[in-house]
Amino acid sequence: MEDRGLKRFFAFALMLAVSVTPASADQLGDFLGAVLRHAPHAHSTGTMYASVYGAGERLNTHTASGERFNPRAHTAAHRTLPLGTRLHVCYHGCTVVRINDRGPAKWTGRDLDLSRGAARAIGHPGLGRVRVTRLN
Amino acid sequence: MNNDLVKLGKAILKANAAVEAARAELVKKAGGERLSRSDYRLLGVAKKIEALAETVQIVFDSEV
Repeated sequence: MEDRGLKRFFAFALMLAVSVTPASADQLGDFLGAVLRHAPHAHSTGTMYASVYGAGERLNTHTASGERFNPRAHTAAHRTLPLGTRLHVCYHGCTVVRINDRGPAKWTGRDLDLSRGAARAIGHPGLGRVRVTRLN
Repeated sequence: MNNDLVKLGKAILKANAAVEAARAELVKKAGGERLSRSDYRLLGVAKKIEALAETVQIVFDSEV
């Protein structure tokens, strides 16, 4: 899926490069902007194995981003995605979560840790595969 | 997207624009000296509004 996205991206970039020859700085900016808008993200769409945290277990009071952990907020932890990334996450329902923490540990085999509030909003039982679309 | 949700999103963006100046002032103040407890709470609320507005903006952008 990612290969196809990359191919499409490079084909689009090549097409733009051929059709638009940037003559000035403005045109170059427009050109780069158009290319970046169509750049595929590392995890643009797919599924992730997700677990839930903040349901009463003992935790650090603060997240990896420095803010206080609020179990009711629609947030999530991911090992590699940049902090502040928004993901559209679906199980029975859908919500948008913000990555503000790191985890879950790699040995668990899970990709995403949803906060209790986000899990409750989408009807996630605690362990299960969710459909994910990266928004930014 | 549902019309009511779009209206709510626009209201959040509007609220964020309204508190933006006050929030910047509080952040600037915090850089120089400690904030009072009430200012600190206000800053927390302002930052939550900011995070919400960012999410709304990203959702609007991704819908287009």
